[in-house]
Amino acid sequence: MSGILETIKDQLEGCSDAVYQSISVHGHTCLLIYIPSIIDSKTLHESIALPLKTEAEAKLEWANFLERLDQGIVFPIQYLKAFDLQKVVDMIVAGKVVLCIEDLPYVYYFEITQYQKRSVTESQNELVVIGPQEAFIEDIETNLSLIRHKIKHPDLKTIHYSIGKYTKTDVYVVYIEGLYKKEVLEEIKQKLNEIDIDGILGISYISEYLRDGNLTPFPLFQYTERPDSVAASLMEGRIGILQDGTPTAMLAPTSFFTMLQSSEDYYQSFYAASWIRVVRFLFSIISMILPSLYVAITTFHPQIIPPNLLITIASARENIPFSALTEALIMELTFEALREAGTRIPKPVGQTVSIIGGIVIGQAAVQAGIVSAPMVIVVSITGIATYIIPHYELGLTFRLLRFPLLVMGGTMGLLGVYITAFLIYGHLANLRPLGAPYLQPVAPLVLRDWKDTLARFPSNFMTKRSNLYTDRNKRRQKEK
Amino acid sequence: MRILKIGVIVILLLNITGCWSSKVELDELTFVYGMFIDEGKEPNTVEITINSPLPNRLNAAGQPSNGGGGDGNTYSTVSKTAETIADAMLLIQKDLTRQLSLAQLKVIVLGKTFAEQGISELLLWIEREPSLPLGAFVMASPGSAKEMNTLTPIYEQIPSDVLRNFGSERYLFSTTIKDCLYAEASGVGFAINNLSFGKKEETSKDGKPEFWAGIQGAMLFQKDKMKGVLKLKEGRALAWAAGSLKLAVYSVDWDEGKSAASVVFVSTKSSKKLNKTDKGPVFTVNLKGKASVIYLRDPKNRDAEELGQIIIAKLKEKVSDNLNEAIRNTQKAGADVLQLGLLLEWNDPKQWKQLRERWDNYYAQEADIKVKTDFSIVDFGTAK
Repeated sequence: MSGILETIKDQLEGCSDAVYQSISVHGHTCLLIYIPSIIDSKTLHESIALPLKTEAEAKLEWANFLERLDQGIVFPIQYLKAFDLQKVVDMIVAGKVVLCIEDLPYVYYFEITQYQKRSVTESQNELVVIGPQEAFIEDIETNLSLIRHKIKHPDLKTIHYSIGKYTKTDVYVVYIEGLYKKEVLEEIKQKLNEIDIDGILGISYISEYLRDGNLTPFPLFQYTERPDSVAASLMEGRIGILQDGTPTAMLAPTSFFTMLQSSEDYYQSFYAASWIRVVRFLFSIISMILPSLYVAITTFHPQIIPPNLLITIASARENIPFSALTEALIMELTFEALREAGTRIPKPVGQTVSIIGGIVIGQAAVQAGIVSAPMVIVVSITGIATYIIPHYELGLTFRLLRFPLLVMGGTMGLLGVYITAFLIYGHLANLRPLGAPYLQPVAPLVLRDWKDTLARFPSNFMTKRSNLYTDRNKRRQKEK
Repeated sequence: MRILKIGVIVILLLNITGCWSSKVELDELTFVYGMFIDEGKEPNTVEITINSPLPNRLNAAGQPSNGGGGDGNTYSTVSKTAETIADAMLLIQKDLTRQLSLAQLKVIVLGKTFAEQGISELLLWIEREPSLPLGAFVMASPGSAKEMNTLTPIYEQIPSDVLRNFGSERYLFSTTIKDCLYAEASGVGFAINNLSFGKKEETSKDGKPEFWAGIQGAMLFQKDKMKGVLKLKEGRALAWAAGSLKLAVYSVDWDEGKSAASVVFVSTKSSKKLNKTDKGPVFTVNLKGKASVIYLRDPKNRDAEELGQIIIAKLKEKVSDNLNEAIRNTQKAGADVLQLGLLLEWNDPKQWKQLRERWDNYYAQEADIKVKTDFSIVDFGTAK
């Protein structure tokens, strides 16, 4: 034992929070080693320390104790043997309690890890009115429990990975056996095995490995904080990746139109949901091209504006010192800055930014004649439209792409906007994250999948899974 | 593959290399809303007047605001005389601080003398002027076109808006540049609104007289020449036959004027038909209408069926008379306004080939045109 103990003490040197609790049993020293802040101290006391003391007071022999220890009947909780010294140290820092017994070449360990965690809360970023409200938290065990609560079937499989030299973060790949595309899972497994990094602190670290060097500004994976979204996706044949420490799950593969869907769509009536989807699609497009269209039309093609509207815009543009393009860039940049400030600002002073921002943009700039009122309207509509995109990362991309479009619109006119938009579309059609065409069902055209793209058909119409994510077992429900 | 992709992108981008230079800010443009064309004072010259709104005098809400120089009108007028239309436009541009844009042109008004001399130069100029919208209405002024520009736009913001609405509301004809070009190229005629111009009894606040414009009838053209005018009554019947009349109200009386009725046609349709006969082509113009009675005075208290028959008979008589009179006038003027020549060409190309050369003459002297009417009454209004 002294050898083992020496090694452990050597490795844990400087970790002043490690505890070595010594208990004498029949004259032999038994040592419990653990870090109290990350274990369940109640279980330690009741199920480990107390039985050990009872054992010490019993009138039995030492050999008998060892024998019973080996049989696993000394402690009321599960415990295992470990021989690898390096692993033993890792276990201690990962919240396990190690029982070191004099003269034994191995140790016993107890899994009573208990990290600090918050309780399951309502979804903050993907709100729904009707439907489940709970969201993932940082603790991966809880998250797995939330998913298992939704899918009670032995085919729900999980693969565990421990990624990061220092963080040793738990990562779980979850899928439903028989639904996923085999090559997708193989690729994910391979990529995860290849990861060699100091630590991962967020799930986006993993997504950047899975991107495989693709530098597209568009998100290739879907993030969600909702267990119901994960469950629905798994049942479509997609694969979920959960990471300990992030209240967000990642779903792969992903298509563009999936990211324009919200879980709310499936909880509301299909008429309302379809209508909202159409509005959402419309405003997604607006969020990207409205400023560039406005600038292009007013500076290159005023003839296509209806006469009365033209007069209104023209009279607002009078005496504005900047060109329409400069004006739009100023406003868009200001708006981006305000938005970023609004996100980063500490909550107590948040009001200040919104008030000053509102006054500066809305009132003063127009009254001072720096920008025209129609431009403020265009920028505001665009700003609102960005938030209609359910997937936050896609909204960020749209915000970013607005600028090249704006510059092209302001210098080359509508043709510039069209060509840039066409190039973006071509790029999208070219994307195949993990082998799934990004723009399906539009390109390639799969009419069957349109039931759940622009409109949301009633559930009993959707009898088959899309071949986007699965190539086996397509039956979703009994066909009538 | 990569080279191909880059190639496609480069080819796409090459399309827009010329776009840079066509950039014009909105506040560097002046939009011509109305164009008024007169014969110049010297022979062989043309006087062009343009009418354009002044955005700097209109605030964003479309209300007149203070600012800019001048007498406070929300529109401006510029007049220049030159030998050709293009020269006159250049002279106008030369004196303006902003670039002229014809893209929003709504109405072209022709002075009577200019119209009489022929508008072929105008049509040829329009053909080669890409920015000019073909949907602009063409109208005629009984005197000079320029004076139309001095009318007071009481309900609208600028005079051209008033004239544009005469066309778009289809009070009589709503002939556009496209129709004129089409008729000229086909060798048939067209009719445009003949405006009227007068002084309003009331004067404006600051004592200046106010002028108003209206429609007094139609002006008839054959190809590019003005041939004659029609009065309002005949003009309306002709506009109905040409399919451009929206609002048709007729009043009839009977029983020696003791009974009377007014109707408004809720639907006005027309069709033209060609019958080939041994004596040559016979054209039939059929007016169809559904009328709603808006005024009725009948001391004899007839029932609806009888009243309907009487009213329809009277209406038929009245409208046919008007149309016959109108057609006779067009024949006298030699203007194939209903474009029967095109009907003939479509239905009987051989005959048209023979007649084409002398169609103007044929139409004026020989053409056999019959008028038919087909009216029905849909309701007698509400009786309280």
